[in-house]
Amino acid sequence: MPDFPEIGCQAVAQYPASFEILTPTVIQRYVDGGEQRFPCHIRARRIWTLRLQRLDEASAARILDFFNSLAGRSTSFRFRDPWTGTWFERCWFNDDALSLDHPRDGIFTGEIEIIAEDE
Amino acid sequence: MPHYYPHLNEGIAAQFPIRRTTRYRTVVNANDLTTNLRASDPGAQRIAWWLRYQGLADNEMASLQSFFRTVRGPLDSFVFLDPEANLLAHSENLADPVWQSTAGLSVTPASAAPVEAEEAFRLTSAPGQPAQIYQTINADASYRWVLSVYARAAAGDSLTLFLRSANGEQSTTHVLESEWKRFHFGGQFWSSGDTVEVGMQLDGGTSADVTALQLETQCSPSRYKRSGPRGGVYSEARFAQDSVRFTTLAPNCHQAALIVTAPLPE
Repeated sequence: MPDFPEIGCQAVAQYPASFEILTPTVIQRYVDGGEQRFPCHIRARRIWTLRLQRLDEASAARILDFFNSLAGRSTSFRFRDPWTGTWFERCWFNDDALSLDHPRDGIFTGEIEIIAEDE
Repeated sequence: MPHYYPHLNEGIAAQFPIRRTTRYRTVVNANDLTTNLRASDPGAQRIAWWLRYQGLADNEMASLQSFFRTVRGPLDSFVFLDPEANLLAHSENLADPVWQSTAGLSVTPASAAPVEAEEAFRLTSAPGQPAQIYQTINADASYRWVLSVYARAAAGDSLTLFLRSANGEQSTTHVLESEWKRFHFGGQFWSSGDTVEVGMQLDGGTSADVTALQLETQCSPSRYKRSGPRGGVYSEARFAQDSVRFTTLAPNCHQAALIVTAPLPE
């Protein structure tokens, strides 16, 4: 399984980065005020949001080539949690589209969301 | 005859900032347990460029307006040159048939490549007979072109880089050194044509190692980008919008934003 590429200095993310835990739940509320709750997805999910700023051309090309090699979110990959250093074996891009902005010569910016389900 | 996306007065099609979006389509089977069942839909792959123009002159605005009307917005397709890509196909594989050569030229793998490339080829011409290797690009010749290549040779051998269209040829000759070095050559044809041939010429009885050829529509070469079976020429591009707004900030100073999209080959 391919590893998410490093973008410089052995890092996979830049500040600011976000981390989110999702436990989607269905809540049915009744007229008497009672409610029932069901798990929408039994497995919890994690989403990392990587905001890429001031990428050089080589790093931007590495990210884009990696995205193309996986055909968007159809193929899973390994990702190292930037907060804990823990490897997650089955992660996906959360979107089928990847936009890279090229504001000036040699500088790229973009944003990536990576999702993983608890094993 | 295909339509060609117009260029600005400088001979280029885009300004910074540029946004390029690559989009795939994945069918995800989501059930209560997992979303692990996924399948890609290769026919739906697309690429899009978000082009924002600032400081357009009157004639540049008129050219974009006229083109938008000619292709009827998103209806008709046109040829678009990716401003961030290498326009040549097989930039490191000169043995591929996309590269045409004249008689007397042998193309064999070279012993080593520069750090920027994975493969290199040795070109050797027969004695007394100059030889050429070139690739044909289906594009409007009136763009500003820059061709770059990594090359080396025994001291004293030279390599000529050329651009050729129906309206003429432009070239420059570089003396090569024994170490890999990047050379480039830029030019522009002042009248349009449907194809451009770009390539290299060796004098008779000489040889050179070459790789990492790159063609771009800009003033100077950018970092080398390896290309595979296709380059950055998109012949089925279309506008993604059916309206375009031009804003005039001052006399002879306009701005606009356009989105061009094209299918990505499987």
